[in-house]
Amino acid sequence: MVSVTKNRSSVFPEILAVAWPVMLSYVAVGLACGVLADQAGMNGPECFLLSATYLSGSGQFMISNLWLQGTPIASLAISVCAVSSRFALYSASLAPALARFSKRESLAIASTYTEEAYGITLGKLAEGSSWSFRHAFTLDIILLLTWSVSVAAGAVIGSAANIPTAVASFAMTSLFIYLLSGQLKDRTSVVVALAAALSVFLAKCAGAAGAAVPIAALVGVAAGLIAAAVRRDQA
Amino acid sequence: MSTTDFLVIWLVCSAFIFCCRVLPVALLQGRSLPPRVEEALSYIPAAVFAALVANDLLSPTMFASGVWPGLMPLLASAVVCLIAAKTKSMLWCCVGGIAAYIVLSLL
Repeated sequence: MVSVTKNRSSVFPEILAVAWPVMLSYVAVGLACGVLADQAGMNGPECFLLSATYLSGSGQFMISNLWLQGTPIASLAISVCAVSSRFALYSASLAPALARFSKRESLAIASTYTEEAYGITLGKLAEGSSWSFRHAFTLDIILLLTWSVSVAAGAVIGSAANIPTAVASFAMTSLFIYLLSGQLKDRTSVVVALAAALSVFLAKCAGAAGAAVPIAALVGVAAGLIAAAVRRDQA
Repeated sequence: MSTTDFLVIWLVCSAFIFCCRVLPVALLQGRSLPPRVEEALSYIPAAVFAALVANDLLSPTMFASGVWPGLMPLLASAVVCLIAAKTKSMLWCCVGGIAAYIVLSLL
């Protein structure tokens, strides 16, 4: 019992050291997301439920925006599912890295990660650090609760809050740039990133903004496979 | 939005996203995959993070209200890239990114 308590207390500072910049971003963006959800007619408990059960941040922004535009429920649900289908790619890439954990532990991590937690855990596991199930799962829960409470608080505060949405959103963009920078290890990964970025723009130009991210991710992976094959042929 | 509307949206989207999260891990973990599949999976993180960054920064209408409003987030992102390369710190990337964004938006 003593050793369990010790383990728990010793991993917590390590997790907080990587989690707190993300938590601050989540508070800022979550409040803005909650304010928008309030305008769309969702209350605090509904926002908490939505945030804590597998919905992505972009999916939640999308629900409010599309509802306020008068989009029918079926179209709204299909659009949110399309933009959130990238989680299948995250989990597919995470699966080999989770080999060191039991099936139950892996499913617990897969059920609870946010995009930032995915990036952090994948990076930690790839660099071979002693990132345990307790680290990964606690990080997931801390970030999920931070996001959920922030969105619910935003809905409760409602329009009384004056949150600069653009600045809060750019905090998330900065996080994604940081997570991307850790993935650019060689020329092939740069080709992957450039192809994905270009594909997002082209998908938006073609009117497929809702599915731009998952489409671009698949194009990026295909570009990486081609670039690696060309390099192998030249070698 | 009524409670019924909310429940329909929540149940449909949550069930779909739960499957997206859990099924790949349930099906792929512990299996030895062909080398090409493993190679493809290794490219996913770079592809999705690049797509998410581009999704935030690029759109066909980004210069609709002038060159500077469209260019400013790109310049702030360039600052974040430099900070990421120099410090490899998530915290400094966020702080530097927000500072660059605020400063550039005041110009």
